[in-house]
Amino acid sequence: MKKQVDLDEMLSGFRDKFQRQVDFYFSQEGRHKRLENALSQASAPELLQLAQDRKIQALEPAA
Amino acid sequence: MNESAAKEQIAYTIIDVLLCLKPQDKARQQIFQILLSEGTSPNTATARCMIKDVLRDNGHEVDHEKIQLCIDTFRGLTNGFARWFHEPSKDYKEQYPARELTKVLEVSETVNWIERWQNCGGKIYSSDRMVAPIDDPIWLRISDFGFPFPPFALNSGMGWEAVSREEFLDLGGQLAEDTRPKIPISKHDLEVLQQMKAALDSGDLKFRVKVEIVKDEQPRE
Repeated sequence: MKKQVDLDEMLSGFRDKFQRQVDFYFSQEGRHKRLENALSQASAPELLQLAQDRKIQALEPAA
Repeated sequence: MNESAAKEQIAYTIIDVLLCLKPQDKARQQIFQILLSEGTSPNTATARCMIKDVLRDNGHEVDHEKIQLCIDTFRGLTNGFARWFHEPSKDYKEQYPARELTKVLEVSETVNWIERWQNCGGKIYSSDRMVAPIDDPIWLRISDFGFPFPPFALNSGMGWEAVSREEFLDLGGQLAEDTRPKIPISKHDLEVLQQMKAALDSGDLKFRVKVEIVKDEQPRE
């Protein structure tokens, strides 16, 4: 019974919470934070790959 | 609300929010069916292509990152929900009364989990292990979605792993009284105890103490 009450409460608030998370995730601030975290958690080969990806992206408009 | 209705509500919320679909949109139901049939497969390529086609056919923008996130979130939350909804048996909870928050998928985390765990009142054990009893409110507190099951944040690879009683107690964890193993008392034992109590109360039975005097082998000084 308690689980049913908990479930109804949780589900009623889920849409708003999820919407907020998605909005932040794809916001400029969210993207910046993700990049920062990826850099801090990356290994040396991954860092090299990230740098190469950014270099390719930077060269693309000029091509 | 039953399990399938709850799962459906979770799925439609993920689809609507991530893929920006309205309740009357035809694509919505088609994507829901794709997620149900393909979303739990280890290879998500088929689901990704099918969702992409549905979005294109219905005149919607195709965002690969959002489609992948939709599949991953659907898979994570519906699995987590099923595990939470089907509560483990009492025996299982006695053997594995705690869970550890640990990395189960190689994903770059957007959350500092140790910091969040501590801020939510969680205890950190040796080697930075984040462990708490199954029913501890910490599992709800650490979630961005308001659910006491993983994933606890968008695009997170953190999940649960069961921790045995011995391991949890060895770590220094504490358990609530009701999860401790109890000595099983059979129906027969109970009947004997009740009969003994009744007999003692009525005087039919009396305590008898047997005292045995043995020879003291140590010489006294």
